[in-house]
Amino acid sequence: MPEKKTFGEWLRKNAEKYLMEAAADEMRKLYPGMCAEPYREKGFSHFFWRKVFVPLYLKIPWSIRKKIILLTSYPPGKRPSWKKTMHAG
Amino acid sequence: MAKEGLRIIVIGGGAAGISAASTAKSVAPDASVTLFTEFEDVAYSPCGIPFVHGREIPDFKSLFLQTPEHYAEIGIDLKLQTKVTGINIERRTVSVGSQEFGWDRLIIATGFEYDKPDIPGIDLEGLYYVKNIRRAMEFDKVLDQIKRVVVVSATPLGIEMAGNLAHRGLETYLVDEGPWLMSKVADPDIMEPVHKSLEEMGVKIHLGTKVLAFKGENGRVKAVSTTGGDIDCELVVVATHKVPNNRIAREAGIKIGATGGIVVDDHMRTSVKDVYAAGDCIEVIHGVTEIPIQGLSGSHAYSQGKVAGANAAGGDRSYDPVFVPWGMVGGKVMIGGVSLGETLHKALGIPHFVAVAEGISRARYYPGVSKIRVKLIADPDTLRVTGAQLVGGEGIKERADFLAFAIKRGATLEDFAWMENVYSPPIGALMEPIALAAQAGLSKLGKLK
Repeated sequence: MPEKKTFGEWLRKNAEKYLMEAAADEMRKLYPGMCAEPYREKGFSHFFWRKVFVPLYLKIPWSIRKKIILLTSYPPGKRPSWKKTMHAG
Repeated sequence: MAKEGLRIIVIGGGAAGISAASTAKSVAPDASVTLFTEFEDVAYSPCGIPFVHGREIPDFKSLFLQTPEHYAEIGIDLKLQTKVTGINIERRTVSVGSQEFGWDRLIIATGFEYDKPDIPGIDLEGLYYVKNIRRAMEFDKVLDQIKRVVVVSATPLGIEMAGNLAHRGLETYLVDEGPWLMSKVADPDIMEPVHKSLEEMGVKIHLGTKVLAFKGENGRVKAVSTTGGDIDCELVVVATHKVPNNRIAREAGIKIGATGGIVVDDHMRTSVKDVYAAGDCIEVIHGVTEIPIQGLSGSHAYSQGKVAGANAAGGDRSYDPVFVPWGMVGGKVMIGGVSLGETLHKALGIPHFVAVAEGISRARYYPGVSKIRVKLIADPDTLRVTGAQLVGGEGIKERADFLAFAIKRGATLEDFAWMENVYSPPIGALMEPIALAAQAGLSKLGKLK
């Protein structure tokens, strides 16, 4: 029986996949001679993630986006304790 | 402080599990420490397996670090080939079939499993997953009898396996959906020399190609069906993405994070009191982004195991957010990096500035000198470096380690531009490639004074 995944896991898996796709497309423009045409699945759900989610995500400033990612990673008040690094905002 | 008669159970015998058990025993010598593993062996280096297949290392024996007898001598009760089937948090037991074993502290180090593609033919014989050394020994014998092999996915392991199988003289195909090799980890300019090197070794690379099915005959794989056509083969190495092996932790109600890894704090404590976790089954915090990440190297698993083991035994150790220095050989080229590359900065939408330069590894006249390309990625406002990637003929690992140490401490392009460096013709050039990259970046920004 497949393991039952949480909403957070579903969101992160999809967000990662389509944000990486978009980043790869940008990199192909920067390094055209070093990249092949990637395989891309087609269909409505792919269209939603590519044309709605990714552009919206990238419009939000990084400092706010990071807070959203952390909010969807842990339930409120359940973020585990870790040392702050010099890069922490 | 460890209490008397403390019972510690460790589930998993990989790098995290074995270091957790050893550390727990050294911190609390009177504690009973029991380690369960479903496999036949512990304490070997699975990362060395591709290089035995490639005949770079003569035998599998060299990969073993310790014998089971050693662990018995230091007082660890190793239960080999014993699969833990469940965890009961209320009764504080683990079950092995109908048997139950009690614990006061539990350490989960169940590692990873491969993300198996949901396609026809996945259960055919002749599909190989690099993980267990006994299976690797069997697979290695089969390699002597075949000619053609397909490696699925250009992950770090896929690259290592493709290079090693080609080195062994097999006709090797590497298939990946992405636009360049290791496109989820490294940048195209870093991977370009690896691509060329693998092709020079004879590897046939199919990028932008999806595997649709494994085709078989009499239950054994005969071809890989892809969007680019069928590739005949006698064996397939499935080197897909690794996912945390967390079924029993999830069933026990231990909190699982968005990455699929067990949520832990900096003491490797899970959401359940007295239950710790370490290694590929957990998620940890990334030092630059503060976002949880999962699936790091054996050295991370080993260090996390030490922290979990010490704390389970009554110690007070903590583990810092990670900056993930990495390095490997792809074909005949060394690559490496720290934190995030340019692609991942773009994927996350982190504001960044790229500084690149090519330098050399030794004095220009010294035999064996090779090029090193260094790419530093920095915050455009503070110039603090947030990631790096490197490719070259030598000296990559040491630079990745150094960069991770410096980036953790907040080093900027200015710091790297004017760093001191070793100059000695056989081992280091007059101008350090890292400094050259930082200077090039400052110059591009008009800040090189």
